[in-house]
Amino acid sequence: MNGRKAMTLMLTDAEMAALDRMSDSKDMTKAAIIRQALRLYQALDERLSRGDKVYVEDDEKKEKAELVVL
Amino acid sequence: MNGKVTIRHRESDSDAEADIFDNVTLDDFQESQATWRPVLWGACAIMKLTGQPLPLYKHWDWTTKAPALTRLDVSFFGLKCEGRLQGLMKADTGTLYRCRTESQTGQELVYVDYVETAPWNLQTYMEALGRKRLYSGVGVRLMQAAVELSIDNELKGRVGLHSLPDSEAFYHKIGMTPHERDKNKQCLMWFEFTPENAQSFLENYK
Repeated sequence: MNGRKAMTLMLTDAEMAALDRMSDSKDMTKAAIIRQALRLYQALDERLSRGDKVYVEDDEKKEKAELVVL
Repeated sequence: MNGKVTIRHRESDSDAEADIFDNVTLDDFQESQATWRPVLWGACAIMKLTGQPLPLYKHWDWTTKAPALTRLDVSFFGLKCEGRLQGLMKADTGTLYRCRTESQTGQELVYVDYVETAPWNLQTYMEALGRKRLYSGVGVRLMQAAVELSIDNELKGRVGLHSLPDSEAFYHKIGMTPHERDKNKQCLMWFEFTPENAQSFLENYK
């Protein structure tokens, strides 16, 4: 595993609350949640930068909605 | 996950020190193409003549995976011994696959997308070529790296994969839990490490 570097992160109350909830529900530390989010964001951003579109599909209705990444 | 591990040198029946590393480069992929494929294809040519089933992965080309080398949700591992590449693995941490074992249903895991051992370490191909296999234990060391990646990402050792038919016995042997064949993935069998059997695996194969 590559070496790690520390950083300070400033979050709003709402962002911290969301991070707390995800940390609890997934039984992972907040740092692990943020690292996972970064991996996901990079993967999506790479596809979108190539001009690909990313969709989410309703499993029952089979309806697709384009995923918007800010 | 970079470090020294031991694998078994078959002919001398002794341990051999190997390097496992996660800073895999295009050079490693090219080495697999240049050195593994001729041996594998040579063995396959003989196996075809004798009517033996051929491995489904004989057309794999690791160089096509080079664009994923910079992705954070993909980890590559390699294992070298005596300066030669002995194994490669691609493990995804951003996978949509989830645990299927009842006690773990829906939990995130590390998905082993590809894992391959050099053909000279596999008995089937070396028998076809009239040679002895060189090393054993490469697959185990790579799977340990997958478990350690899972632990490092706080996924508690959970690892899943779709096994090719030839490899099912191996995943049974190392303690992964088999599940139903996946209709959405060429009917390959799904295998999974729960946190408990991942821990047992690490302890049993030190």
